[in-house]
Amino acid sequence: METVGIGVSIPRKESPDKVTGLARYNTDFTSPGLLYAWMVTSIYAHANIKSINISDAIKISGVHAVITGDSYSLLCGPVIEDRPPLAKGKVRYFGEPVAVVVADSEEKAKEAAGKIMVEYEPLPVVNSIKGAIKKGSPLVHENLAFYKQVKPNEIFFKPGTNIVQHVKIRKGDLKKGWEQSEIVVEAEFSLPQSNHIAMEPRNVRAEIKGDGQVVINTSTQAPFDVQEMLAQYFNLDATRVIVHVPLVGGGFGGKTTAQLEIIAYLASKAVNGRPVKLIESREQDMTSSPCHLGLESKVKIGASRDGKIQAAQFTFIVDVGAYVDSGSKMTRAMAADCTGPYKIDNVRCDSYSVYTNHTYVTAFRGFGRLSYVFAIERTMEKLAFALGMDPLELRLINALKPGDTTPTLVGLNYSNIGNLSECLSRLKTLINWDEGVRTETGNYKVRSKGVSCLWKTSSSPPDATSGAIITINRDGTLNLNVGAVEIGPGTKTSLAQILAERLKMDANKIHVAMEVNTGVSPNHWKTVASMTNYMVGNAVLDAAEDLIHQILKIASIVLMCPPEVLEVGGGKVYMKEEPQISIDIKEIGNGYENPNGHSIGGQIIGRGNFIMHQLLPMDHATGRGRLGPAWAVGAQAVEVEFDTRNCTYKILKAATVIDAGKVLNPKCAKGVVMGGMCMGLGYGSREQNLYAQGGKRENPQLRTYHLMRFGENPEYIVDFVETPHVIGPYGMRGIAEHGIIGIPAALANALSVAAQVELNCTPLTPEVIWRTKKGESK
Amino acid sequence: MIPFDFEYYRPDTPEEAVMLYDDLYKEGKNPLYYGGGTEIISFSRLYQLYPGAVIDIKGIPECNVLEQKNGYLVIGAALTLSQIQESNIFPLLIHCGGRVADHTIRDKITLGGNICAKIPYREAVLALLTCDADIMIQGTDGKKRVNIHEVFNQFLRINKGEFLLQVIINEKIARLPFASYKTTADGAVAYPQDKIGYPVVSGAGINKDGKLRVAVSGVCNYPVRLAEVDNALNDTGIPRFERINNAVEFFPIISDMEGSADYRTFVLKNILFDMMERLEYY
Repeated sequence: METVGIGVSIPRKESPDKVTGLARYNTDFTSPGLLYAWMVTSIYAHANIKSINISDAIKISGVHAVITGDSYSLLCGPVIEDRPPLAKGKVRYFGEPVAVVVADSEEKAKEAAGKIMVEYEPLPVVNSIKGAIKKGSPLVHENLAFYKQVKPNEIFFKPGTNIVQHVKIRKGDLKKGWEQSEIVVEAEFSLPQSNHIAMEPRNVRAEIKGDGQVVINTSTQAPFDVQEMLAQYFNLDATRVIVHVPLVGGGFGGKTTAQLEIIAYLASKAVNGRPVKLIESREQDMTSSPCHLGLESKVKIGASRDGKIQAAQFTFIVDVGAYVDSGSKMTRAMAADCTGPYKIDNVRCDSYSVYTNHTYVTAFRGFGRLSYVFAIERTMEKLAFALGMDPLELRLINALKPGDTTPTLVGLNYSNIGNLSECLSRLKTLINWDEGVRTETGNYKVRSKGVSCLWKTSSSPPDATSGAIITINRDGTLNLNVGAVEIGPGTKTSLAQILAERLKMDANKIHVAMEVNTGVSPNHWKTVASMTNYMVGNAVLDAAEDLIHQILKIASIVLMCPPEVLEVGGGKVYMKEEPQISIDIKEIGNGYENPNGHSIGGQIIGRGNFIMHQLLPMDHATGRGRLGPAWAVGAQAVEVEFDTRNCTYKILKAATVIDAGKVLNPKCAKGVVMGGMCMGLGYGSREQNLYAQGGKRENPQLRTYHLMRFGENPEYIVDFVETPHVIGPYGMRGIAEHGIIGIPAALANALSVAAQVELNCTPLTPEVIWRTKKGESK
Repeated sequence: MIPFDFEYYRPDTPEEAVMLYDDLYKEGKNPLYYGGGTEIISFSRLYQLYPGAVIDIKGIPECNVLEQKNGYLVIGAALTLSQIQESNIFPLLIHCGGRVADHTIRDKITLGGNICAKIPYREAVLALLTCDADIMIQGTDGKKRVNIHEVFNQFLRINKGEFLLQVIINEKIARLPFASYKTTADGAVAYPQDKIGYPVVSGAGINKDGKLRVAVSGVCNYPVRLAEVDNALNDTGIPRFERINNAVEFFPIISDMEGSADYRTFVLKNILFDMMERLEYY
């Protein structure tokens, strides 16, 4: 019986189209009568809009409409409604959309956009976290207290300041913890904002049909959210908004928020509902649409001489930019996991979001974890040095284990935490840790290694849900329809594998709908948080049960036996005792015709769903709560060759061992972890949003925004530990984001050892290392 | 995407090109000579350049030559940096030009385009400055051959309507031992290229008759070879470190997001040191 289910590296289902160039992305589609939009964006980071003169633009032939922030009144945001789709009255960041031209062609729209004259009155700029919190700082939002909060108890701001979120963790007895500490270390860290740089820039098509139906074609990770947001903002019946999402060319969290969809809807509305396409240029994608947060943090850790951590105190201040979006949620997620995967019984954490006149932020791979993990893992290194202890050993001593509790007091067991010690031990061997962490190899060269741990759970709403629908084709193959978007990691293939495993059939005989259409696809919260295989996978298993139940019912009639003695596998239903007595599923999947022509059944349709359960919002005073169902833990290492003369370096190796619970598709899993590691190396070594004085973005182009290029990748080593998460499909845990989380810290640890200085910021460019060695701060 | 219409011409001869320029200029079309187009396209799509017409010189046979003639190398201005790289005709130029942008872009960027560009770095020029190249210029009154040092000062100073036809290099000089190093904000770039980025410092040097000649890019807002720098480096009466310290004093070193002035100075000193090592110049 041919079975290709989980644990097998089958190629991703969309790969043949992708490697031959036949895959179609959202902007590849056109339609008759399509119009094009182009955005005018702010050249100031903070300024009053005195006037917008559109008269020269509207005169250009082929221009149909120009809309500005004054065209309507609306504030958006998933947590607090603070953001107008187009700036109204004032601009709060460089690149903020100010006006939109709709024209016959993209060229005409862009030409007209260049003729729109915006008169600004510059305002004092909040250009850094320090600037945002200093006394008397200009306010990015004067009317913060009047904004609508989408849900109660999600956001805790300080009126009259730029502090828009404050999350607290109060665990144990800190005073006692410090008393028990014989060694105390502390340090400050600084990590800048950065961009997502998905290969496909953000884009959308919007159309309003004659009967009022709104059709959105977009490159998003959150089609059902787009549907809900549009319905809510424009007072539409949600079912009258249909959102289509084909393959998405990368998201990394950047495509989780509804932004361009709202602008494109307004643009279509301005031209009587005609279809309008809006594609961001790379520069707009990097400045106008949301980016990755920046963080300033302070960490203090105390330990007894045996290396056991007794107390820890954290201050995180997150640069969320000009609008909150999901920045407040990341601020909360960082606090919830603030200790890293270490047992610390006495913890205090204060995690803040502050407004600045920078591009606003949204989810980014790791949802804030890579930033605070940098801080704690650098401090662990410092602690190991102060204790005179091997840094890997220190991590092993303090690794969270079943029976321990998290900062939010979730009790841990193997199922929800996995096995970090095993990850560390495996890593130790893989990177040959015992040969030493610093080796001088001559000619100014030093080879060094650094390690880091990671952990992450999701931060989904407590009622996040997913659905799955399975239909049987006449040839016995199956169709699987789910609401998860294919953003690159091979989700649709993994889901087919989960279904194949349950039905003991070949995953290649399961067709998964690549497009998501909110009109026909079952709901899925969002394709985020490394939760897709967990949530949708469980829905698929639920649907499989339903399908099997129906198959057995028909088969029991055909085979004239009770359903309990039958089993499904290999495309057949057979008797458990005598497998040769069987019927092919294709004979009964669309009704069974008796020899006399009398038929029973009909198409068999399996349906299933999943909802998050037992999640508990965090208590504002203590932080007690439960944000996600389980963690995936892991250990990472980076090895570099550093040139002590000129402070340049080569990244030789990067290694990751993650407790994946169960690996569904080994090559896909390895690929997604490697992708994360590559992003982590890029962020750690060179990526940053540079803002000049006045808040103008200095590097909004790939010429000047430095990325890891293909030829710079080191040798990647990826391995998995499998401690089942008992309620995950076949025990799996979400690992899609995790590869990025500890890498910047591991890189900084390796380079600090090599350069023999404390490197507490990113990006770690040769110049930054050179300056630190000279004793200058960044 | 370029948000305006413009005229496109592709003349067959240099004479036709300059006449076209003259006509288009008189018509107020603000014409530009067009090689690979990477810069014209980049600036135009950002509303920073509005040529009414472009004159593509890639159809002119003289601009496409690549030959060794009477002891000289003749390289047409319309050859792409990739074509020059593949020809293997001039190792120093190949090293300097072969680390500009990335391979795909070098398939577009022409030698003439790199020399005449607005971008500060123009690394192909380094090879021409160190090797005292001649350049052939086409004007309305015919062709003229001039030494690069006469016309290149921060940028190529030729008259409106003239264009760069060819570059001519003494073959003997082109074959001399050379050194070429490039460092970006992310570290040193090997050849063949393993990193992409603007130079913090890109340097080219040769040893001719026991004298060092050095040109650098990334240090100032333009590629440059200074007689004072060459003199300082060749002042063999004093220790090498001191010579290097003296030499770097002559550059007005820039500071920008790729690197601060003091960091560029540090990198420049290391590169000069490495060049001296490589060229066995002590």
